[in-house]
Amino acid sequence: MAVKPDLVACVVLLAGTSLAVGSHVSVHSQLRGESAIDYRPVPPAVAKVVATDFDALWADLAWLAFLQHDGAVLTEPEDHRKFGDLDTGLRTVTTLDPDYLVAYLFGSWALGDAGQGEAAEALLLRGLKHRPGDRHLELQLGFVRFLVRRDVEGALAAFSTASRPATTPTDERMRHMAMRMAAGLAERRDDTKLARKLWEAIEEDARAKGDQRMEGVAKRALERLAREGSSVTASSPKDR
Amino acid sequence: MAAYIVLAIARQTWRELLRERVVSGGLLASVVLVLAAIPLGGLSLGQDFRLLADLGFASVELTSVLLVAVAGAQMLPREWERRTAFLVLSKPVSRSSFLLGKAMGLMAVAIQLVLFQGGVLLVLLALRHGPPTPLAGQLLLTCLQAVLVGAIAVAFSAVASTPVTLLATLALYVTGHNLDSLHGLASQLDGPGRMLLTALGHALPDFSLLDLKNRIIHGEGLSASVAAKALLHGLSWTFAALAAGVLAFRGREA
Repeated sequence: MAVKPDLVACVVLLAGTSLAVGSHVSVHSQLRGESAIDYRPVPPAVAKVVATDFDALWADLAWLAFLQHDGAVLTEPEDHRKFGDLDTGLRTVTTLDPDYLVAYLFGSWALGDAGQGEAAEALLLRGLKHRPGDRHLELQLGFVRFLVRRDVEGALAAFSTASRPATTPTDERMRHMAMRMAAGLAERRDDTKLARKLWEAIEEDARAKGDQRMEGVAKRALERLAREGSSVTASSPKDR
Repeated sequence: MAAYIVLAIARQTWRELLRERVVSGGLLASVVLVLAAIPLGGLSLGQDFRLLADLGFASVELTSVLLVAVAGAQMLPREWERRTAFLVLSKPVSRSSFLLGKAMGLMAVAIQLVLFQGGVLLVLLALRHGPPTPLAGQLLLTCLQAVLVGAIAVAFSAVASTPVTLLATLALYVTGHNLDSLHGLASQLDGPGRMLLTALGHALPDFSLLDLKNRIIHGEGLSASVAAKALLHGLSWTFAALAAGVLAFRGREA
């Protein structure tokens, strides 16, 4: 019986491929645990030199690497979280592109969650240095100082800065949030004069816009301040 | 030097280059890379526009520059190897016309490469995020980068072999993107070293000047004065490189 060379070649090809794939699957499953990629962010100074004029692209890639590793860690239960070098990763992204807004905003929450409040504040201050007057960053700085660092005075300063007049609808929304936060914190700090001034501005704005709910909140706060005079510590959390 | 001869050689060169497999392969790879930015954008926490634009423009630029550098480095040595250069030059065709025709064909391919890839990128950006009008300005500068790389490659290939031409062209391209580092290094030195590096920093083609995508993509805007200076810089270097190539090719022994 004559053996057809094409048939032999096909059989050898199929057998070879099956063996190759089978051995790879087997070895891969054995080594999987050992060969997991260890995420190490590139130091910012090195990344800046290597990136040349493609720094925005490298910033995107560093951001993706940061999110894939530390973003996934954030979704795990708090007692199982093992963060990498968050600060270096975020510094790499923001050194490559100092205007990477989302890196400052999300990064500061991630640092806060990892118990690195000081680094979170430093990240936002660095962002404000590059983007002076950015209301997103000012507002976030207020939240990080208040919620993470428990620094009421610092938070009040940040929210007060973000309460300045705005020109765009987005800035206007953030301004309102900052004013409400600043007014609440001023009450907490017993700064009745500032709290009254802010609540009055909020009431006026709400009236102009026909926002009855907010007008009511501001009215109640002003009544409370008037009632309690200089001691305003017993205010209702709901109204704040 | 007759213009119709230059144009005839340019047209023939353009046709030959488009038939090269490396060109179609590179184009395909570039389009795949641009398309890969779409799923990646979904993982970037709302940064899909900037990821598509950054990756897309980088891919357009690198693919075009690499393809033009490779094609430009091979072009003249191949003509000598195949003896077609002798055939053409034995007719009433000057060396200048021959070199300029080859260079113009290569530049036409460079522009075509950038416009094809850039067109795909702009359509994708428009479909996903609305009209990306300001980004079209960067395409013009990317065209100029590819054209300049082509001119440099042709100039080097007039006197050097393919590997040397390729290395020298890419070295100039990479250095041209790093002139800031060169100036930074110069500022840390004293004496002749400082003078030499500073002079080099001003004497080499500044590819960063033709790479304003970061400003455009991230909304920093582009003033007419900067754009005009960038165009002037790119065009001047292109003409200078071609002139150097013509001079070297005229003096070359067959």
